[in-house]
Amino acid sequence: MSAVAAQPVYERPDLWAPRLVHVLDVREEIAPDANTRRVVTLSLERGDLDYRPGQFLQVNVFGGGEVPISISSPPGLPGALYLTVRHSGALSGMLTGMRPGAIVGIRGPCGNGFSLDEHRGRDLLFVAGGIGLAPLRGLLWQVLLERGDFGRVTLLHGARCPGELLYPWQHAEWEAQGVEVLLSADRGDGCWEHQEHPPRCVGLITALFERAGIAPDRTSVFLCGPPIMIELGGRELMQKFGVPARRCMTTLERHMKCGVGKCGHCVVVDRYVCVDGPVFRYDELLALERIESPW
Amino acid sequence: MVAVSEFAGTMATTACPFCGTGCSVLLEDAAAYPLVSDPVGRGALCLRGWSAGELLHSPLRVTHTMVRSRGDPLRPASAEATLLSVADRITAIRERHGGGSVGILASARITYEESRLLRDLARCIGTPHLDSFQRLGCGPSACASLASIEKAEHILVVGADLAARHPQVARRVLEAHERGASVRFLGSRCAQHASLVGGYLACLPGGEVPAALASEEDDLVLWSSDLALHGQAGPALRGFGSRRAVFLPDYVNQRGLLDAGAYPRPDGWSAWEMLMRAAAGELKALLVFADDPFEFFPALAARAFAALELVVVTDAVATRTTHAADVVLPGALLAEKGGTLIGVDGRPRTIEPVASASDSVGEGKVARRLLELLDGSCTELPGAAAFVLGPDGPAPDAPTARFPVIAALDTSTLWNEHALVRATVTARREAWGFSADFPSGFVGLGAADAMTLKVRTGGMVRIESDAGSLALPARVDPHIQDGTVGIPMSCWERAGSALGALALDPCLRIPVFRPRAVRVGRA
Amino acid sequence: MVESRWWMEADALDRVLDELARSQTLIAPVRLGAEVVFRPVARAADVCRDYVNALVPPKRFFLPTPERLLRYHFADGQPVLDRDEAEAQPITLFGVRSCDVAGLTQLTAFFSGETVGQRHTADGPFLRRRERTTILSVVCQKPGDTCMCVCCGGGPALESGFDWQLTELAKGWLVEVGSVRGRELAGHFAAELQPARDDAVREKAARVHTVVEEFHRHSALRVQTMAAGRMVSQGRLSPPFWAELGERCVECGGCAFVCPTCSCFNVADVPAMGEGDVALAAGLEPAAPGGPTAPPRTGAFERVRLRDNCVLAGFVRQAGGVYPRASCGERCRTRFFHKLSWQCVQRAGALGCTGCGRCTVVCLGGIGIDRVSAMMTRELVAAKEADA
Repeated sequence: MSAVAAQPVYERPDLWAPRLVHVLDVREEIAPDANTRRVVTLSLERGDLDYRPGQFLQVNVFGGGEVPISISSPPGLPGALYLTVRHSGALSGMLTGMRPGAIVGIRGPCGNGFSLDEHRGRDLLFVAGGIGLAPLRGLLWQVLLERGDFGRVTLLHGARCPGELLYPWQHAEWEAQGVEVLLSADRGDGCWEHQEHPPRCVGLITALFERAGIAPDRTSVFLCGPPIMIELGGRELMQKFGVPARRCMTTLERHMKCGVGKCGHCVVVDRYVCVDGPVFRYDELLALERIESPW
Repeated sequence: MVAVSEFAGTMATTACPFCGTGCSVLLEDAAAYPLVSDPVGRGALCLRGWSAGELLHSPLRVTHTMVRSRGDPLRPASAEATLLSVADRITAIRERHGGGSVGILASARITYEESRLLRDLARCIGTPHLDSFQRLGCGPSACASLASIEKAEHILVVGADLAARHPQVARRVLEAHERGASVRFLGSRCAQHASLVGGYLACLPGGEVPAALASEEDDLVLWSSDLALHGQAGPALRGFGSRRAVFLPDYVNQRGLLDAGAYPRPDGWSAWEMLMRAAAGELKALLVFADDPFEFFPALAARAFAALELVVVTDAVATRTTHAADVVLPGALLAEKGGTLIGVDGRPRTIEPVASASDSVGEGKVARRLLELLDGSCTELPGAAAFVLGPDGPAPDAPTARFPVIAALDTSTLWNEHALVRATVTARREAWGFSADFPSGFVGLGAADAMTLKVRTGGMVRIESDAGSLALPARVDPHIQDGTVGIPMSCWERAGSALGALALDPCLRIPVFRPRAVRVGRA
Repeated sequence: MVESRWWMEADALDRVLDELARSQTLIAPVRLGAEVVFRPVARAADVCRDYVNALVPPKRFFLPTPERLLRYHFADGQPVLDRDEAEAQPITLFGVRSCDVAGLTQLTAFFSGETVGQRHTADGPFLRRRERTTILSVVCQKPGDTCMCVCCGGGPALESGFDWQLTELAKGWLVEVGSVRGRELAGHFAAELQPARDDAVREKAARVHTVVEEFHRHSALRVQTMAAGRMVSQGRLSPPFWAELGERCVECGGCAFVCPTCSCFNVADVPAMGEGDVALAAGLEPAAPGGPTAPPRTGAFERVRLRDNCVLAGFVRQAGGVYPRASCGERCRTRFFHKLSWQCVQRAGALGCTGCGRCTVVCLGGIGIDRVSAMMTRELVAAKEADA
């Protein structure tokens, strides 16, 4: 080996050029009203894009810019990508206004994604707060495509009000494939709380933990939602229900501009959420908390 | 946005086009840098200065002349043909209604020579109405210089939050403190750096001048337009006139405006008065040079522009004002001009053009051409006067039992909607945070008051005076003094009208937000 | 690693520079009024020899701001990507100092994706500029007022990161070759070079030693890397500590803009010059000045990246007005963590600060890294005394 610094040959895929794809379909998931913003699911041409559940795409809204959106369909589903988008700012507003036939760009897949292998044979508990179900749905759906590899699968989904619960139209399909679905809403609407099925309660999502019947030695938890829910929900699962922190997987959300670990916007302590995450183990986040709150 | 060929660009020094402190920037392509050898900047710039290069190729550059006939959108046109047409129309309006039916809005963003040309243009048209909305609080004042800060032993900063509007001055003040000078901040709002000097001397909005005068020991007073915007220009100019005082101008050539004579004559209308008279049909034509009346007075400007027969706007960047004009001519950025600017010290400095990003005609060329075209009937108006201070402005409210809180402008928000800031990416993003987080405006609430009212940032509050009320989302701000609320300058007109705070200060003839006694509750 | 050492006569350097200026673009320090800046030069005679460093950082030859990443326009209502085949022309950067070379080494590792272990995220625009550049650095022999490279392992001389490292000796120049390209260049200029004798190598070492001594004796400023490193790495600085920094910081952005190891950037899709629309649609704020608020069907756009700074509030703002680091003090913590922590040394392979001293010059709040590391040291000492 020469002592001289050889001129390195850098791999050079074009990091910045997006792939142009058509919007195939736009489905309204949550209609906007005084208290909630619009949420839609866009289905995009997938082509040969390969990805893992939990990864995201840098979606190019031409004329506006890029916005990171998790993929909420499983890798095992050919032909289309589903992205669930909430109108929360200028760019997501433009995206939720797209029509079928429009062209957007995608760069990616970005991020580390969930790895399913280390959870095979275990019980899986999905805890999704609000729009946090969007990235988890891709994972849940992939698990159902490989249902035999996993034990009990439970989904706890909570939102501020019943109207903000996501994908209610898929509950029956999931239950038919052996998922136990439990719902919560911070406040009821006078009607939702009186329905029987799926089982539900009015209150915080943490109120469902008891009902979920968690076996801490063989359960992996996937936790996704507003930062405060991740922080408090995760702690309760660990302290009250004995789930080891390293068996609790969660995702962090940060403002992103590049999705490839360069621009620095998504930095938390020494991590880049877009490449070291967005999926993190809870114990990893607890270690970061000493320097900066990751929530 | 990007220079076309690598290394072809020059690197040269020009003036930072933003505030009146007077830093220089080194410009290379579309990037600005500070100069170590700049005695004002001393190797540093604020974010606005660092963003100055982004202006050259901004999407909001006005790149060609545009004209419209009423009701139609603006269409491109030839500059020369347009100027001929404008000269004709001014002549016609002048013949029908007299020279005093034409007004000129000048700018603190243009050079001293250009301001002189506008004064000449005003004389030529025969109008006494020449002023600028950027003459926010600058009055004729003998003053000390930036260098005085370096030698002062007792510094009093009155009303101004240096961090937001004059960071270069903040640096010098902090350094003075480090070397053992006594530094005190006095005002109705907690200046950002106050905690570093042990706190601030709190007073009510509008009460800064008497409080400052009561303190005898300072050998240097720093003040800015905040006092004037509360209606206290008269007391401030008189009160600090006998002391060593530095007025910190807000805009790059704000002092130059005064020195060039671009201010209203005794029989002329000030900027705000011009718009009021235009809305009332008494002003028929308005020539605007690098000024944006829609920035602080959108409703009045809209009414005025709708009533005016002719609005001609020359600017380097598109604004709501250019959007509402009949004629838009491309102005030039300071980097594209040569001329003189007068900074905080009163000393002129000369700049040379270092860039030419756009085929701009430029404010100076427009003024010169119009002078040529109108020259036939140039008249010297009688009694060219120096700027005369008028009587003191309206007194601020004191809190009452019924209205125990004082509402006043939060002048730290000065730059949020500024035309040049809006044309950049970086400075705009930092100012834009407020607009994006609070698209319909906000009111700044002190921490303890917010807690008492049980209001968090985003929660709606109602502010009510004896004249009216309005509801705004709250923004809890630890720098707002409890017992006061801060109105961002973007809401100056709306809140000022609703609360009966909008007034003209006859001293400097600028619009002010008279601090008003209000009560605040959850909406 | 220095692979070979050569000796060059004083006038030989001029000939080398003249030829480099003729055959490609030579960028060297020049006087611009009272400033020193790195600019293209036509001749060796134009090169300034008496300087410490330029305030305008040479990293801009690798990370220009703004830099176009992408162009597109709309045709028949749909977006079309425009090809942009600007070939980066070869350049030689002469006179660059060790602090900037050390910074460039870190930037290169970062933009090649090595720092985060993701080489498939190598950044083409940066690496093209890096690969087309020949680095002829010059060892400092006189520290400037704010220089602190000695504290950070950023100089005055380095072992790697350059193609040639030149040291001016009494009668000529020592040329140390540090790369394959440097070796090729030495071959090209073989007529001007002789193998360096031991006394030349010793003279260089002595001169470097003198610079270091002079720094220790006369320079007022230090980067307290050990103490500060401990405090930030272990999270031992309290909220009031950061709050004081936040009170000083006026969010001017200067520190990251001039720092040799900083590279954070903003990305914006900007309409072509003059094509922006100022009319706001129903009070909506577009993402870029004059940009659309609904999906457009016409127009031409550039995606540019612009220098950015993690202490700015807008840097972390998430849609909906959420600020993970809501106070300026917390954002200052992020900055100094990246400059001084062991965790970041671990990732980057080197300390995040190379001691160039520029942040001390540009900071309006008086919190350059020397002062902040001194404050951290006082906290450490106070903590030890409290424990004792």
